[in-house]
Amino acid sequence: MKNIQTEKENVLINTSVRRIDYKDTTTLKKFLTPHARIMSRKKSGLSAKKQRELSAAIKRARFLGLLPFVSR
Amino acid sequence: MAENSESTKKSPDLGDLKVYEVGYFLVPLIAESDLGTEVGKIQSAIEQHGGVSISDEFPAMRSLAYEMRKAIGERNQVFSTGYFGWIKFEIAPESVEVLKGDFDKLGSILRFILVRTVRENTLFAPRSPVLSTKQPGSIEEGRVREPESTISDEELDRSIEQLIAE
Repeated sequence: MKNIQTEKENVLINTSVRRIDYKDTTTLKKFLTPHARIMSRKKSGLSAKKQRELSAAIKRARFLGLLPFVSR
Repeated sequence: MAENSESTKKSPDLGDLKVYEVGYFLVPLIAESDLGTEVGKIQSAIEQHGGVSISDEFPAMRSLAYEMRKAIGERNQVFSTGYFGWIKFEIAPESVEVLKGDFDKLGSILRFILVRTVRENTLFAPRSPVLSTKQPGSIEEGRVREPESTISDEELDRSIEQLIAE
């Protein structure tokens, strides 16, 4: 579990992603479950602030059709 | 008093501008040669309300994550692809609602989103991997620690004995 958390944190820290963008679907997809649901904070390992930013970005991308709402 | 009220008044042209971004999908029915005109319509709508363009990305064909319907003429059409582009601009917050209405009227836009953002580039561009210039097996200068002055076994024994005696 710890390894997954640090891995996810590294996605945002090591890649110098300071602000989560709704257009950056490659990064956003890493925080979706196979059913296209947003990962919980427990699994994503992000801070509360970053998790809120991530959630807003994913919802924007979904509305625009860049990410799916559901996936089988 | 009159001077104070005048000095506290903000000029409407500068200080009030905020950075916004419009991300849009254009209908795929548009020919690629006409994309420039459609983008021009969006940009002119922004400029009409006093907006100043900061950066943009020209629309490119992209598949949608799910099918979208749009009424074109009298019929609803279903689209699974579209031209995706975005424009970042600076505008007075009061003009945003009016601008949204203008975008709604543009028939070529399949869907759009208007959000507050920052001036800096927020889209992550992956950095190309840089190969190390170090030769494998070579030892860097200065990293090799020279052994400190060697102490013989006899000296070591003597120092231990001294410590025990104390």
